[in-house]
Parts: sequence; structure tokens; C-alpha cells
Amino acid sequence: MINPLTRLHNFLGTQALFVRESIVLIWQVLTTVSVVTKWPVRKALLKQLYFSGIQSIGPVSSIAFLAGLIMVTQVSNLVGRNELLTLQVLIWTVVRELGPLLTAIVIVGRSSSAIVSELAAMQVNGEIQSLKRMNISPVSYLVVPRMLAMILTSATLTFYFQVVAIGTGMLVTAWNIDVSLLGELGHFFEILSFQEIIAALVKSIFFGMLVSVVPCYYGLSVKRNMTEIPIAASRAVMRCLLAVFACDGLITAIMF
Amino acid sequence: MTGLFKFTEVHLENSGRILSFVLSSGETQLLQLSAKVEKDEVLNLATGVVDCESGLIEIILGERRRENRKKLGAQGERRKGDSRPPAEWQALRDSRPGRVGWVAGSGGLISNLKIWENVTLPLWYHASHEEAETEKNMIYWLNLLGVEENTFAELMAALPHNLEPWQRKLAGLLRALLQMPRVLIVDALLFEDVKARIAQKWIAALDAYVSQGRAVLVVSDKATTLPWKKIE
Repeated sequence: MINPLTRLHNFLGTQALFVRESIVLIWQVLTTVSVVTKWPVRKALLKQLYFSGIQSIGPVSSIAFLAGLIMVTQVSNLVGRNELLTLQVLIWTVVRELGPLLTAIVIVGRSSSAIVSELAAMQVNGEIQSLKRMNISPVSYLVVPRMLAMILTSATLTFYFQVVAIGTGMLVTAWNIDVSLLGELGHFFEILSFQEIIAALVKSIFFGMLVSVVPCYYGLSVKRNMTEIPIAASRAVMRCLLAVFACDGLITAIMF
Repeated sequence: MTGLFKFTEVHLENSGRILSFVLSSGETQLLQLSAKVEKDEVLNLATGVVDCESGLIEIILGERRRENRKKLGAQGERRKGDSRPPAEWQALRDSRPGRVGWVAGSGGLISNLKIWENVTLPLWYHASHEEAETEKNMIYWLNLLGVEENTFAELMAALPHNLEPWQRKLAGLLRALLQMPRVLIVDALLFEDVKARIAQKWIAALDAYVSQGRAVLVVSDKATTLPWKKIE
């Protein structure tokens, strides 16, 4: 039987290795980002933007609409017919937290799982080896376009999520309390601070980086065994969520 | 014939064998190995995926590079401290990527790319993206490989999993020919389970390729009847 201390030591060692390797991967991407000028990489980037960005608009819209509706209903129940406070709570939660977080969760569910499965399958089928033998770096051709696309997608979809959720919240408030929508809009710009916009942007960029680097790391770590694919996919999804929440906590602690 | 590609006392870890040979322009040679692991090792070494631990793999310098070196030497503008004579050979790891091409036994295609994207991938990754020129060269090679012209469009639009195994092999071969590397490394498995008539066309296409001042190294891990000279 393994000593609990040894187990803890092994566990921490694995975690440290994962963090180190992920940082190395991010660094490799940052140093080879100019590869995006090459046509095949640019094309891969466009494909990723389509799959992770355009195709996520539907789910993000639905979740944003429902989040706005639920939020405003709950807050109205709590604070009564206080339009200003309802709006304030809505902006705080959606702009600061829910927007970046829920968007990242949608991306993890849709794209991160797809990325890890795709890269792991490529590894198992010998396609990564094939790229290497053609002198094409897997980091340049596979990781760079995915990470760039995820960062762009995360930032844009977060903004879109916030617009839809807050818009829904305002419409429901206007309908329920019978206040003018234009008046609400005026209050919105008074309440919203520059710091909140920056925090949301920073969060969405970091989340985009995390939800791409973790699945890329797990996908490329698979050896040539088919049974490793589902294990890698489930680990990557859990790690992505954990990384996103940890990063969220860190940025919130620093900025607010 | 000038030498293009050289293995000098390269030690193969898996078998302990030491390889030394020179591949010259206009020449196709067959390297017969004893096992798949040995073949994979040679493929990785020859394509530059791994560095050899002992011995040296070299490729001839490109003409433009040689010209530049000569000019610099004549004008006395060589960098300070660079007293090396203008060398003809360059270690493979220092050479420009894409100078050694590779044909996988099964085609080695990327499954989520259409055949057109697959065949242009190494070319457009390592060199400039010129569609018209690429298309012209592709038609030339497809004709040599015996593909009927009315099937070009359908073939290029397909995904690898929709093709027959021999068509995937064909696409892999086309991809390497289109890239026009100085030296082409071919896995002999390419010719297995392919109709003799088709294999003959491919052999003829490779002969046409080497006649353009290039070289082909065919690597096999089984006894083969392929027509090329064996490396002893």
C-alpha cells in the first residue's frame, strides 16, 4: 500500500508538471504566433473561429437570455420594485462574473472537449507524427490557431453574452415595473464603470487562453492508444473548469 | 551526378546498425531494414524529426545559399570570426525546413482536411501560397500518376476517409511531389496492396521526379521486388 504522503507528493508532482507544461505551451504559442501569416495556419484559424465562435452563438444566446431572465426575476423578488438596484445587481453579476464565466463554460462544453478529442485522435492515428515528418510543428499548426481563435471567441462571445443578458434583464424590468427602457439604458451607462469592462475583458482573454491550452496539452499528451482519448477528454474538461474558476477568483481578488 | 543527401556513420539505436551512404541527384535507392522500429527510426532521422546521436546526416546546400556564400567570400564581407570555408554540405538539422519530403506508407493524410488542403499543406506551409502555379503542377503530377482528368475535382474535394486506401496513398505521394523537395523519403509500404498497373505508374512518376535533379530514398522493412538499387 502506498503511503498517503507519497501519494500526496505524487499528486502534487503531477499537478506541478501539468502547470509547468501548460506554461511552456503558452510560451511556445506566444513565440511562434507569427506563423499565422502562413496560409494553412490562417485557414485553420478561420475554421476554428467558425466552429468555436459562429457556431456557439446559438447556445450562448439561449443561456444569456435565460440567465438575464432568471437573474432579474430573483433580484426583483428580493428588492421589490427598485429598478435602480435591480439594474445594479444585474450589471455587477453579469458584467463582472456571469458573462465571462458562463461563456467560458459554454466554450469548454462545446469546443474544449472537441479540441482534446480531435488532437488525441490525430495523435493516435499518427497524424501528429505525419506533421512532424513534414517539418510542420504541431504547436504552430495545431495549437496556435486554436488558442488565438479561442481568445478572440471568448472575448467576443463574452461581450455578446453580456449584451443579451443585460438587454433581457432590462426588458423584463421595464415590463414588470413599468419603467421606460431608455431611462434604464441611461442608468446603465451611469452604473457601468471602466474597471468593470476591463475586468470582463481581462477575464475573457485569460479564460480563452486556458480553455484552449488545457485541451491542447491533454490532446497532444495522448500516446498511441485509442482508450486514452475519452480519459484525456474528461480530464481536460474538468481541468479547464477548475482553471477557469481559479483564474476568475484570482482576477477578482486582484481587481475588486 | 552530384551528392544530395548523406548519412555518415549514423548509428541506429534499435538495431545497433551503422548506416553510411550518399544519395546523388537523379538517383533512387532502396534501403532495406530488418524491422518496423528500425524503419521508423530511419524515417524520423531522415526527415529531421529526431537528431542522430552519433554520426551525421547532411544535405547539399541550396544553390542560392551557395551563391550567396561565394559572393560574400569574394567581397570579403563574411561575418567577423566566421572563418569557415564555404561548405557544400549542411547538417540536416540546420537546413531550411521542407528540403526533405516524406511519403507515408498509408498516405499520412490529415483526416479533417480535404485532399486539396492535404496535398497543398506542406507546400504552402514551407513556401509561398501561389494557387495557379500549384494547380498547374498538380495537374502535371496527376497526369503522370495516371489519374484521369475528369476525376481530379472529385478527388480533391473528398475527405480522406471517403477514399479507397490506394487513393489515400496516391494523395500522400502527390503531396510530396508537389512540394518538390530536394530529397524524397518514401516508405516502401506505399506500393503494397496497390494494383501492379498503378504501382508502375507511381514508379514511373518517381523516376520522372529524380530526373529533375532530385533524389529518392525508398525505405523498406520487408523483402521487396521494387526495381531500385539497394543500399548495402
